[in-house]
Amino acid sequence: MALPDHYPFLTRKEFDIAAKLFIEQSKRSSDEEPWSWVEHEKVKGFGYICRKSLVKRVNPVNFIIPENDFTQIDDEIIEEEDLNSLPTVPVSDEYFTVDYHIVYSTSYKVPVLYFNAYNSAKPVVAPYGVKPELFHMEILSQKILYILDGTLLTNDEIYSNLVHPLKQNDIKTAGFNGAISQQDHPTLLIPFYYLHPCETATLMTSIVSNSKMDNNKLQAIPLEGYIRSWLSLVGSVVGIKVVIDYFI
Amino acid sequence: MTAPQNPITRAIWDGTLPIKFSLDSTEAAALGAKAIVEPYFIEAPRCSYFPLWTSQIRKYFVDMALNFIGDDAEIWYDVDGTPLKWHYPIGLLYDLHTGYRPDSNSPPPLPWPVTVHFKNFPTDKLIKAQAIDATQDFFMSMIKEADFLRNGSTKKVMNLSKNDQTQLWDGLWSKNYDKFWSVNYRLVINDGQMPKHVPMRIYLPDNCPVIQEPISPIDENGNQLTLGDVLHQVLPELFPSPLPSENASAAPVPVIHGIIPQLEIPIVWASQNLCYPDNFLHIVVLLGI
Repeated sequence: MALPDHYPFLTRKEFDIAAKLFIEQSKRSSDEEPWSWVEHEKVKGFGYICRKSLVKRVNPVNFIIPENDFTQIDDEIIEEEDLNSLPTVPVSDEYFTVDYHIVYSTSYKVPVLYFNAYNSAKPVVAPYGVKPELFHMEILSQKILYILDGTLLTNDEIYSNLVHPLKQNDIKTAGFNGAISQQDHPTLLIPFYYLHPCETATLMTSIVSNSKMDNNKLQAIPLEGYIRSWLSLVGSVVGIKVVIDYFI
Repeated sequence: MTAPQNPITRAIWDGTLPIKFSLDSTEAAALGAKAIVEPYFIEAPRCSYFPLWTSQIRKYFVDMALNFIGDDAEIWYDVDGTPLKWHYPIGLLYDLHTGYRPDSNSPPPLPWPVTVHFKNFPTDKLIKAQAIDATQDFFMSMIKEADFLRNGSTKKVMNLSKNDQTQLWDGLWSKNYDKFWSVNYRLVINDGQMPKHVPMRIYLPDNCPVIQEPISPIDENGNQLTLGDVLHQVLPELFPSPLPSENASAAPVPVIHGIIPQLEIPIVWASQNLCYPDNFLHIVVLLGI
């Protein structure tokens, strides 16, 4: 098993190797959402790992249909009186889509977790007779329709919906501006949220032994295990679980 | 407090750009402007950031009878339909978006025409944030990243007193050279030690990703690398030699602060003297005419 030359840091080349090994592990695993590799459309050397996930909000709120949403719809289909008779049902499992990207940082020489969360799946109760295509909806269950509105979650929404309540305070107060902030995606040059990488090297050092005498612990994580180990540590903060299959 | 005298950093600090801000015409009508609203002119430091000017620009257009009650963070800028990244320094945005070669025969596009928008913030293209606070956070995270590149840790910045950290931003914000450089000097000089890597970013035309590679300032024999060496190393196709091309106007050139620096300057010297306040050398590469 190849070790990184300067653990806990990776070179760009080592990242690319580690990434491809990680993707193979993901394909072999029982994970329903495997990770894949994306290259920049024109320039070499800017590839990254990505996956799209449907994520359940950590703080389920009772969702009640806002009446305004319906009054804007064609009157022929929903009459005013229909609105009042619509049941407003609390829905506990609200989902949204998250694009997760694992991108190499040339400054910090470690992988960085980038993500954008979209309000793609806001459940409402299907009013009788409404054609789903009018809402640009996707039917995920018989009664609940998911509106694909594609708007980005704001920073506050990310904290309250994606970050575990017990971790929110720690993450909000880390660094200059909390550990989660927005930055241009290094390959795509569009805004993405990211977990600040300045402590990643320290974290990766803390999980290995610093003593050659200690035979029970590794002195460095090999390239094969680097990304799954790193992701299992940092990913949980924003809703990523690395299933045990990746390690077997 | 005064900063060490350095005519180069002083000249860069004092560099300004006249900018002409015009309203988006369709938005102007939607926001209740009855007549054509005259543009607003500002002479902004190249090292400054757009969010630092937003409240002044907003006040002008609201005073000109624009009906806008939203937050400053809703306001954004574009040039020829391309939204301007507010977290880039203004001078970098100018060099990048005008693509103006200082060695060309035509006059520079000044004042720089920029369109102001009060509606439809493009969250898919621009970072949405709370104006000035977010600019400060961005600025500090760039300074921290520069420190990490130079020293392999962010200790130098994190060990600055709270007061010194604030002074960096306050100095930039209030255009106070001494306030800013008396603290920043300690960071860029790096206690006289050769940095591990040079904090620099290279911007290419046609929406290429920004190039930011770990650039060592010396070669394996300990000789200092020049700007030309670095450009040749990172972009061998555009800079086939570390030395200037004979056919100057047909060759790509690096542009920093609106000037073409000599390729023979040592990269460490460039970093210490020509960096933007965020401690990065932001180099725009413009192709041949």
